[in-house]
Amino acid sequence: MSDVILETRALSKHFGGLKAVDSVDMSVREGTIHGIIGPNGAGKTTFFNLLTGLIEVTRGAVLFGGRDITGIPPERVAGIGMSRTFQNIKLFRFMTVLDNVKVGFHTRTKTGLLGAVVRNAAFRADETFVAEQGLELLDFVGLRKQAYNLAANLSYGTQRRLEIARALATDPKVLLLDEPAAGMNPSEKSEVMELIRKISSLGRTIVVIEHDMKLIMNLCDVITVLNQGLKICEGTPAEVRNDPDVISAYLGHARGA
Amino acid sequence: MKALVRMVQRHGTLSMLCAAGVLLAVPFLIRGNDYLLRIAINILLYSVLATSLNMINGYSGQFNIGQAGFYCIGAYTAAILATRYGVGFWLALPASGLIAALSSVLLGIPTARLRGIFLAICTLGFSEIVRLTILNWIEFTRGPMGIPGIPFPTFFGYEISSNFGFYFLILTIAAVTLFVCHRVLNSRIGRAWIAIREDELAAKSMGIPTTRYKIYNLAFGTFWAGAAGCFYAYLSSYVSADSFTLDEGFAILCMVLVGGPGSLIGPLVGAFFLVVLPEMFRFLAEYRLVIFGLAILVTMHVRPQGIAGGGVFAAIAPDSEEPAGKGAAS
Ligand SMILES: Nc1ncnc2c1ncn2[C@@H]1O[C@H](COP(=O)(O)OP(=O)(O)OP(=O)(O)O)[C@@H](O)[C@H]1O
Ligand SMILES: [Mg+2]
Repeated sequence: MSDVILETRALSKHFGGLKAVDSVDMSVREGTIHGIIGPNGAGKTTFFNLLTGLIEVTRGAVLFGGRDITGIPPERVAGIGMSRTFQNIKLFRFMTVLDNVKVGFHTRTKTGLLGAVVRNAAFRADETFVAEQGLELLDFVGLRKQAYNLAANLSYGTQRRLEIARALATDPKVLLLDEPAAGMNPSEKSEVMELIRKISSLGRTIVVIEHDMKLIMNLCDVITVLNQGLKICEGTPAEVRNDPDVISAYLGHARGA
Repeated sequence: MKALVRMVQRHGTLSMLCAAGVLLAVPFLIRGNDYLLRIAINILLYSVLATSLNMINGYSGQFNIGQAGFYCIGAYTAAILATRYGVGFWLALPASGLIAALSSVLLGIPTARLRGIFLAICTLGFSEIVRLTILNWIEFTRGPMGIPGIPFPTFFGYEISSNFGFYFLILTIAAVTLFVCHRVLNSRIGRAWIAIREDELAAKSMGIPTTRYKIYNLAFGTFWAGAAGCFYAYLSSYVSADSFTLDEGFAILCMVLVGGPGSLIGPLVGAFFLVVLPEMFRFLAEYRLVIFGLAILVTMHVRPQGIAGGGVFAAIAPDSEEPAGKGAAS
């Protein structure tokens, strides 16, 4: 059994009286693809926001590689090896596709003001590294041809892939994907599934939120089910599929499992 | 116009050389005419000021409308250093920039978390506080009397005392400003600023400490306004708080908006139009701001991204990254 890389203990987020995330314990093992499912409003995105420091934790703890990172400022998350995509796409719209990815390399480069002005050896090394690796990443997600287009001009599905490339540029140990296949047609979906498998096979741990059951059941090693902020079930796809609580949670929300 | 733009895009270096040639030739053509020389100097001075503001408003998206305050700080720094401490122009120039940048950090630390209109109001207030402090701190700034008697700058023993000389001085400053801005924008620092403008939360998630970078951006932008202030002090040999009212800040803002924020060429185009237009309508001198307001209205209606904004001159603004041969090959 591999080690746990990401763990939450009784993690909670209350918005006033609403318990959006309610005492969730979850362990993600290194190298796995870990799915999170649940009906709309179950607290999945809020859970990601807690992991990445975007919102304040009400109670509980987040551990990364055994280290307590509860309340970490969001700008430090990339540096420790965790990176994410957003359900409501958040690209740098009026930057080129390549520049979007280049921003992802921010924490892995060091050039200061002076280096940028005189273009010293360190700056040139940084820029070459960022440009080469950036193009390679675009190749990896199949966006090389669009490298010099504006991100705003990409189609919806393509924007999601660019967000993945940008997140990968930070060289994350754990990649958090919030509905990476939302709004895609079936062929785009299977492409994204392939992409996630490819990323996983390169040794990165993946946590993925998704509503598409076929995708999640095919892809994940472990699935955690949230409903109204609570973890109601966790297990292999086969276990989750047959769990009576899961079935009733989904039927109650008129979304077929 | 379209053909011109395309030509400029295709031959970036050549166009730059042509522009440099024209800028170097202009003072010789109008050498005897001090009025025209003054206009040319003003265009370049406002180009630096508008560029400095564009670094902030156009690239990191922080809405600063008090740039006149930093311009003022630069001018007074130079005036005081020159008249009281005998500091020469070439030392006063970076010193004025640094003092302006430093004061922007003092403003930036408490305001970096503010956005949009709230930040705008703070910068506006700051600009007025600077002016009123100078007006009232009589022992230090001589208040409403201003500081006269700023000596002419010298260059390797030659005194720069004519408009002809000042033209080349400001041309050099403008060239250095643009060169440095261009290089910084095309680095991880510039990319971080633009990322913050586009989506601050996403920038944070990419590991950019956005608060620090916003203050950094404010300091970088205001440095050039401070340097412009130093040039202005030496050019007029006299500084007074009257020259740095909110109107002045609005004028600089108009140049950025009309020319095209977020492009290096935009503020230069804006400075050109908004220096030349009021000269053409001299009889409307008191309505300078009305002319500027109209210019903004027309721009927003006809070309909301500004005359040269929205990538018209993209090939000479940021590095033209697509190597010519590559696009054809793939
Ligand atoms: N900033 C906020 N303030 C108040 N309530 C919030 C906030 N963010 C989320 N919520 C509420 O918390 C609950 C969980 O929302 P969340 O976005 O985490 O759900 P989700 O599982 O991601 O749903 P979906 O599948 O629709 O994306 C919802 O009821 C939502 O309205
Ligand atoms: Mg969600």
